[in-house]
Amino acid sequence: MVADQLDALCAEFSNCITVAFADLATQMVLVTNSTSRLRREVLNELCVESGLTLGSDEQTRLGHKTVSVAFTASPNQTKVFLRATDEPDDILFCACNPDIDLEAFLPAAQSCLLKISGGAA
Amino acid sequence: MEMNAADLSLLQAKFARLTQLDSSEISPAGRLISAKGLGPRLEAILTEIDDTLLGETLTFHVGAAQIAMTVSGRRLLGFIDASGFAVPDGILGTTLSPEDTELMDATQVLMSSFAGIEGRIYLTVGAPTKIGTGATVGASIAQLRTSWTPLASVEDSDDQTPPNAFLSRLEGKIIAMLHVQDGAVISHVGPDDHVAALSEIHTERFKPFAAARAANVSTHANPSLTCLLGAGPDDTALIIAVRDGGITLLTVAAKDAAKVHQFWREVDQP
Repeated sequence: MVADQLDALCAEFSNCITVAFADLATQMVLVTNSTSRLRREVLNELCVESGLTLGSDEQTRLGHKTVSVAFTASPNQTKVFLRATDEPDDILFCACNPDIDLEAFLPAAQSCLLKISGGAA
Repeated sequence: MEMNAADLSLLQAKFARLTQLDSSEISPAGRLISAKGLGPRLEAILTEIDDTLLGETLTFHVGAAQIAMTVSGRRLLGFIDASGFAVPDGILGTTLSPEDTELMDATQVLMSSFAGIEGRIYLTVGAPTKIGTGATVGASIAQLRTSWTPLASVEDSDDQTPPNAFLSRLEGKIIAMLHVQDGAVISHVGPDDHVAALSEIHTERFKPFAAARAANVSTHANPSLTCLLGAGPDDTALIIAVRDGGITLLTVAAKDAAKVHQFWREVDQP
């Protein structure tokens, strides 16, 4: 199940607090990990921020093209945004503690998204 | 040859410096260049070039990496060999010309990459290797210092500001950088196409992005670091660090993006 994949990612990385699978086209959060305590409004904001940061065909924001991997760090939080390669509207966003080890986390999160988006979950 | 007082003084200073070298630090790998930090290491290499009057090949080694250059008359004529680290195209075997700004920028990338490698630098000196037609004048120390200084000027000191400490930690990983303070471009380094891309992102894209983020995301705060893998030229990672009215835009290899996050965190929250 998709929720199991998300729970497994959070279990492996204790600094990952919330991970959510969402559809960028509808800006809808579909599934979150079972231990997430974020309010719906915050989840919706993260979904919007995912679209802004990763970019879309209609409005590529920062870079000259849309991207599949991005992160934003601030004093209290690190946020990770991922887009599925084969399904560009399938995204994973993660709200993490500031000290998350991105070198280890990014590949694991990409693998998680691949399993979910590819239908293997 | 008669020497004037200035020549004698110069020679005396050079001999004094040579006698201060610890002979125990001469190894089969060559003479040790005792310097720490990107800036001092680049300055030490410049000093070796400045000390070279007759034509010689200077080869600097750090671990498995090495870089060899032809120097004559206190001028760098060109790089003849480099291995063990990422070497930009079009530099090796090319005679240096300070008017070729693209080439000079590439030497800055080359030298900052080499000097940023952890470990002791050793120098060996050999017979000169002809480069080009042999009729080149190369680059003077002043011209090299101007080209290499933007990264070398970041002091390796406990008193560094967070932005300088952050950049210092990124030794050798930065491909290009554009630093803006209170709306004005303060400095830029790196290949022209990368700097142009960073400039365009700063002037055309960052402000609307930041505004949209501020309007829609209540949880965002500065100082902040934003990284987009593959959004820079040549599929590099685009990094934007914001702090206290300053914006630093960088391109780094995608594989270094996670390290950038680590260094930013360590500087911001030691």
